[in-house]
Amino acid sequence: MTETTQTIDQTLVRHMADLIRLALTDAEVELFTEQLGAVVGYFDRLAEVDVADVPPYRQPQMGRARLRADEAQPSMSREDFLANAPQQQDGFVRVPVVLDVPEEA
Amino acid sequence: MTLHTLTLRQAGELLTAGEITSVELTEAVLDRIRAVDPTVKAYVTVCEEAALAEARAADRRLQTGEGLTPLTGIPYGVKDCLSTTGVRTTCSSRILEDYVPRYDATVISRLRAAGAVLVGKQNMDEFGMGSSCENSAFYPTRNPWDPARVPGGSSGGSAAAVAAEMGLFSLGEDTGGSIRMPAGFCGVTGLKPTYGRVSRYGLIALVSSFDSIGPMTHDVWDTALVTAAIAGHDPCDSTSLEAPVPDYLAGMAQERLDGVRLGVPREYFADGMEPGVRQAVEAALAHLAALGAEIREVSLPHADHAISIYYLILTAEASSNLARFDGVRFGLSEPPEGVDIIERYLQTRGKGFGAEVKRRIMLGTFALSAGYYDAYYLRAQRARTLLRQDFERAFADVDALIAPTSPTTAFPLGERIGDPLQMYLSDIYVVAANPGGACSLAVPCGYAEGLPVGMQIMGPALGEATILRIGAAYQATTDWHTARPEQLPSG
Repeated sequence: MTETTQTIDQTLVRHMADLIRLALTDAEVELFTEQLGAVVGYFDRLAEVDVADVPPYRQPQMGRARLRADEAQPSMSREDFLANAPQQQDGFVRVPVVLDVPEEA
Repeated sequence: MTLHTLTLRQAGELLTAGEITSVELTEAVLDRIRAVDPTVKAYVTVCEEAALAEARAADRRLQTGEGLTPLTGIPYGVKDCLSTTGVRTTCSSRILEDYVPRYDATVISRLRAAGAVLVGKQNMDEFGMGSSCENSAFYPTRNPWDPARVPGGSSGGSAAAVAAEMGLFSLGEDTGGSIRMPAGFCGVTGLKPTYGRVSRYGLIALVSSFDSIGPMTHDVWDTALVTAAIAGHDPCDSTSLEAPVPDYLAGMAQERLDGVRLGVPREYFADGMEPGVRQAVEAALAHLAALGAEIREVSLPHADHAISIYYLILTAEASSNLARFDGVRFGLSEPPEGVDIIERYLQTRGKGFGAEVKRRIMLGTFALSAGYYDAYYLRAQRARTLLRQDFERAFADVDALIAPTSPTTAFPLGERIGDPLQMYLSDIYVVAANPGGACSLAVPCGYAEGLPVGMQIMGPALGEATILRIGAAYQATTDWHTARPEQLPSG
């Protein structure tokens, strides 16, 4: 059961924040490391449950594809779709440059 | 007459009899919001003009008598995670502070079609993450029974609005207790329907496999009336159930519970419950027995692990659901110019999300990431199967389960906000119903040192009619649900 002895450290917290594109201050990293460590320590008690032959739960609704008939229906206007976009140009959502991202170290 | 104090059912009778108008009723509710919401802070947005326009339309409908429903002309509010055309929908988050949907959630469309009058959007823990309403990015909501205490969460604004009579009912949303726990803290009635019973279309998702929308009201009758209006299959939500919606009002006038078998989960009554909560729930059990119900002890052997199962699945799904907030298509965008897309993501999310959201999406990413997935996320999904089996076994022997909504009454603001794990443990009795596949009704069952105590009546999947009937018999023979807070300063 060594897999449940993992403790949360600052390196891991920074790595998680990077994976989900979340800028954190140093103070946040310090605080979250301590708080998440306590929570994961509590979660580790789940190792007491014998789940060896138990299948993971699957929502019955999730496995069933329910497709409607392929018929055209009214949808929102372009204006409505764009109404909340922070930046627009010529009827499109304007996005920052994505193909010119500097290489990460 | 103080119209804002009416129950939905009472107001509906007066409206159809022509003794009051929807405009009078709506103005009374808006006046009440102006008087007490500066103290309670249950609302994020009040849509006064639109509400009065809807009230005038309802009055025309009431005059002609055509297409009337029990909700025609009734003013209500909704948790601010439900999309409303033209009315901002914030999830009490900076990242959605100025977001104005261009479409209605299905529950909102159904209430509009029924003629109900939307007065505003209610405060919540940011994205539903919290048990006290203190995680709102705007301000904490106060408990109407004692403004120094929390209303519970995450549907804290919705519970407080009903308790403080700022709307005849609310719609809340329950992912792991977010309707029932604040209903208990604020002394109101609330229903978490079976997952899939009510369409989630237009609900800003927290946990797509748990989220359930349901009513919060003064009593079980009103809850049944609102549930009837919002339940049923929706082609826009492929997870909504096709099972027909039964007549929830049939059998509600029954005051006896002869032949009804009620289970008491022994794990919930082991320890950790405040004495005042225990006394109130045990007195309620004695009352239910006096009405003819048979009370049996049952076991939910994995109940002790429900918090871990629930929070691991929650954080994993939430980390995925909240990936959509990218500062590009809608919502906050920081900084507006001069950065590449990665920097836009980092800064938008760093500034737009509050501390609890950051903690949870990091936890979820941890639980899902290589090296930890098997030990955390997958283990939680396997244990969820066991938890469901616990409920299935219990419901083979009993019609419903009885439990408190919380181990304590409403706690003071600030008491738990610095300790996330203690905050999570506030949910110990309510979280299991969602991963366990149950529906659950919360009703007030007493007071401890002047603060409300809540009781859950949990039923099997699609057991709403049964638990509503049990709740109605309880409320027909008790008066806990009729008490209202009196000490609110108004000005």
